[in-house]
Amino acid sequence: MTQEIQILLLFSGLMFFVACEKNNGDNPGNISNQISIDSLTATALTVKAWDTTTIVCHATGLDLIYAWECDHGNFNGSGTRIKYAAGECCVGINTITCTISNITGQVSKEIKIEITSYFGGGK
Amino acid sequence: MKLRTIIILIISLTLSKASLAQCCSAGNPFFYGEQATIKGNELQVLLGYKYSISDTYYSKSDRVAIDFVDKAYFNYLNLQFIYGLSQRISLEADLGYFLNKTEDYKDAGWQTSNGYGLGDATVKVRYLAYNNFKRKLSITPSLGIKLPIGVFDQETTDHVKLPITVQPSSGSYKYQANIYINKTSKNALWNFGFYGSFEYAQLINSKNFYYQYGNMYLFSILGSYKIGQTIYVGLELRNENRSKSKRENNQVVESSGYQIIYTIPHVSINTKKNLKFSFDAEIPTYRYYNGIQLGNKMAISARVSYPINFLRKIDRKQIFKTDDQ
Repeated sequence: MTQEIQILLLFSGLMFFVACEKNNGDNPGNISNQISIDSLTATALTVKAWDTTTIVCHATGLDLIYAWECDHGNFNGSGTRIKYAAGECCVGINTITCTISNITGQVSKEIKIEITSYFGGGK
Repeated sequence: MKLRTIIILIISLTLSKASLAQCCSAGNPFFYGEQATIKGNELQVLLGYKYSISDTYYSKSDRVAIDFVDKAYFNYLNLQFIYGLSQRISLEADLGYFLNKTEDYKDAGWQTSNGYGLGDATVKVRYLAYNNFKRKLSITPSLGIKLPIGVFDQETTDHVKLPITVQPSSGSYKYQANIYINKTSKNALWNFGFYGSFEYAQLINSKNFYYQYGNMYLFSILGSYKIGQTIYVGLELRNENRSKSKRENNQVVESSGYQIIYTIPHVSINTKKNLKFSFDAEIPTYRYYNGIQLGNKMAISARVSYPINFLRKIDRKQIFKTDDQ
């Protein structure tokens, strides 16, 4: 019985330990002053749910890699130009981030796209 | 020695990828049954497979024609260890792996989104609080935690982040409180169960995502009947409710949360070598979605489980030793 209690305590402690673990994996990387994003534009800054807007990144630098992230929604494409759409789940102001990088480091820029409801009436 | 091995196994299973903890989508799917506490000093190893497909958008209970996702589907593997610490307490560790988690789009110009990899892990403690042998009635509450140890923030080879819906891990810790009530008929042919579960999801606060899934309430009534010596057929009615999610600035996500009732036929076959094979299909028979959401069409799953009784093995060894002497 004592062994059972010890194991139970160990198991509970383990659960507590992993539950308290923090996610600190967001490493921004080195910022480069040799590359730059000149503009990040969209064909429409406000779109209805499931409609598409095209986002274009103009940047300066050699051998650039373009990476795209968003907090809500879907992408299609890659490189300097990407299509973005989001469903009814993602109504609100969403942030799209373009990150360019090469051997000197990386630079990011954000653009906000507002997704309005499919039913109409904005948010 | 055996007991230590099991504990190490459970701990290493839980911690193996904990350092990679990141966030993601709705997490591991639910599996039928295996809610009862197992025998003391018995280890049950279960390997499961599940396929699920969704291809229709719903608003409330009605179909809506949305020209976006054509179909969303996944192939999922699940490895589970349940160890009976005593006759009353059992520990469970559970790990999921998505072979694929895919979205195909109606617009031919849109590329398929395909995520894959390690999902969430679950650790759970069950306690057989009440057991009446005469009435063949037992009550087993349990507490668990889902750990987002798997792949989150997955991207394509072109450095484009995949949508949260195809990310293998759920991206946040989830806490569960469950209760399972089991009643077996006097002739042991019929078995009935009630399963209730509450799940609270912690806020996902990563580089890309700030999102909190709503609480989930799950109620399930199960019944099974023994045919012959080895076959059980069963039916489960599961009511799954999830409240609305929240995003930045405490904004409620109106198109989130649902109530679904699944009808789940179930067959399990016990072999002479203690292997148990289970098959079931999840068919949504009632659904109510807030706003507009992609609804699940159906899911099928298969499982194989194998019990290892350490006491029995120890006893046998002792018997053999005695015989040798």
